[in-house]
Formats: sequence, structure tokens, C-alpha cells
Amino acid sequence: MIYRYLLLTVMTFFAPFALAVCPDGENRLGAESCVESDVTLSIPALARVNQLQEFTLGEFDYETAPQAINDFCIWYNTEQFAMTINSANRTGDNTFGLVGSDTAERIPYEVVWYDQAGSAGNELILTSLEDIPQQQLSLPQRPTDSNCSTNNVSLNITVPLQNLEDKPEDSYSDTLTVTVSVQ
Amino acid sequence: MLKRIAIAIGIMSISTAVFSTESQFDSTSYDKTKIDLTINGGNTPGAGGSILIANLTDLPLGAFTDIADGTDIVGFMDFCVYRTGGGGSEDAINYKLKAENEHNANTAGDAFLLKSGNESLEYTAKHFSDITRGGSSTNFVYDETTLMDVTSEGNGTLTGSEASGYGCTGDNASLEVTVKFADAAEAVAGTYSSTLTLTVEPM
Repeated sequence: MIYRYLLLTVMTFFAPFALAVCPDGENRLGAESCVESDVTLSIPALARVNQLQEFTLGEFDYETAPQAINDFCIWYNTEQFAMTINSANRTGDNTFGLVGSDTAERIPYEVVWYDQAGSAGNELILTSLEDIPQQQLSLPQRPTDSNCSTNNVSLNITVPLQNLEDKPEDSYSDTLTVTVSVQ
Repeated sequence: MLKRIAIAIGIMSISTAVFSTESQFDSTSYDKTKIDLTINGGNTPGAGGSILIANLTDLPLGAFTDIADGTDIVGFMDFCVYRTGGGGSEDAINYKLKAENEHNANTAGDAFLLKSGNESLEYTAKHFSDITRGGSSTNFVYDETTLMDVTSEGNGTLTGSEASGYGCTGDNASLEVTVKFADAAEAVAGTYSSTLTLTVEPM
């Protein structure tokens, strides 16, 4: 008996969604005629990173730790994605590094992720080539603009003063690559 | 066709009226016979003739992969509407077409809904009374008074050559559906589907 009630409950719940379409069958000549078509669209898991500009740390004044902030955009349509930031001058310890004309001279620097533009929101100290899952990036809401017309995250780069001690005069640089990948 | 049959019988009656008496021995003799033809419009023929919609198959919109081009996703599928005693440029078919969507439309405005689990994605539909989609189209508009179904009506006039044939051996109308780019970009990844039912009746 309980199964009957359960079945009745299930049928009652789903009844509004199970419309009686084409009750006399499809493609039949009559006072009215009916046909059905299944419309389908596949939206694969996708992610995008965009609007990341160059970081200009300027000229070291021997007093202030060089620092630069950049806003950029991450868009995704799945919770199953990860971000990786890679330094072209990465060493075995996965630190980020600036390199001068003498490649033996390397200045490690720090990269901090913010889940909002303008270095706002939650922060996360990154290491190079670390896969950071979406949950750890903790964006406050899933972005909906795939054109990335509005930046929604930011990176802060800082060169600690102690890392600049005894470094020869030169121009130092690095190339950061931000990769988002769906899984 | 019915008109032609009626005219033919009329001419036969006039031509036989010159003879004197039926079935008599004479220098000329004639006899008459009655020819009956019933054009049955299916199991449930309507007062305005019977009608048929056919050839509408599934409509795959493909995959949404270009997230930056801003182009709406549009798909179409041709189908056929045939009515007994009508069709062709001389006797256009006037019909009423109703579209129903299997999902609860909630307050989705003029849109139908594709579903992927609990996720929804809006789409709109319209139909053309030709397969080139060059003429005017009729949008299926959500009926706000119908809370469970997306039901809408559009009128069409078919004048294509196929409508003057017997049954649906070709197509003379087209269904077009559109998913807006912005809606697809907002949607969570998944396979979205919906069954759209078209019902046609003569006007």
C-alpha cells in the first residue's frame, strides 16, 4: 500500500512537467496535426583569462620594495577548473624570479592573487607552476561575461627589499604566464 | 481537385441531356452511371479540411565554443504543412500553428527553455511559411496566462508548390530557434535539450 501512495505522490509531482503532447501520434492527417522536435545545445566546459597587462616595477629607489598591481579577467562556466601561473625564470624551488642581462643574477619576487579587482577580497600567495583549483581561488561569484569587459581578479607583484641587496645595476625582467584550464 | 470533378460531372450532364430517354432501344442509346469519390481526411477530418504537419526532425544547435564572437546561436529545421483541398499559389493554406515546450517556463518571458539538470537556458522560436526563410516570420510568444506550458500561436499562409501536392513529400515551412549569445555565455557547462511540439490546425 505504501508503494501505491509513493507512486501516486511521484506521479502527482511530475505530472505538470509531463505534458501530453501529440496525443494521437505524430505526422497524422486530421482536424489538427502534431509533430515534435528535440532541440539540443552542448555547452562544453570552458574558461578564459584576458586583459592581463604588463607589470611595470619602475626604478628601484633603494628605500621602497618595488610593487605593481594588475587587474585582469577570468571567466569560466564550470567549477572544475584550475589556474596556474608560470615564471619564465622559474627555478627548481618554484619561486618567481627576475633575471638581468647576466642570467646568473636572479631576483626572486612574490606574487599574490586577489579574488577581486584592485587587490581586494581574499588573497592567496602563489608559487610558480602551482595548480590552484577553482575552490581555492574562491571567486565571490561565477563570472557571466565571456567577453571579459570587466576585470574581476588581480595580481600583486612585490620584490622584497632583502632580495635586492648586492644586486648589480641592470634591467631585470620576467614573463608570467597565467593559464586557466578546465578539468 | 473537388472543383474540377464537380465541373466534369456538370459537363457530362449537359451533354447527355440532348438524348431522349435513358436505356432505350433507338438509333442511339445511352445509359448513366453514378461515380462516387470520397476524399477522407484521415481518422478525424475537420470541418475546414484535414491538415498534416510532418518532416520536422530533431534540431541540434551544435556546441557553444566561440565565447568571444558575440554571435547568437541559430538553428533551423524545415517541415511540411499539407491540407486537403488547399495549397499552391491559387489556393493558399491558412493555418494556425501552436508551439509547446515540455518544460515549465516560469517567468521566462517570451522564451522557451532548454534544460540541463536543474539548469535552464532560454531560447526563442519562430516559424516561416517558406523554406528559404526569406519572408516574414511569426514569433512564438509565451502565453503569460499559461503557467505550465509555453504555448503560442502563429498564423501562416503556405503558397509553396509542395502544398499543392498530395501529402508531405517535401517541405514548405521552416522552424527557427535562437539562443542568445549572452545567455549561452552565462550558462553552466552541460548538454541542454528540450522537446518542442508543433501542432497545426486549419483556419
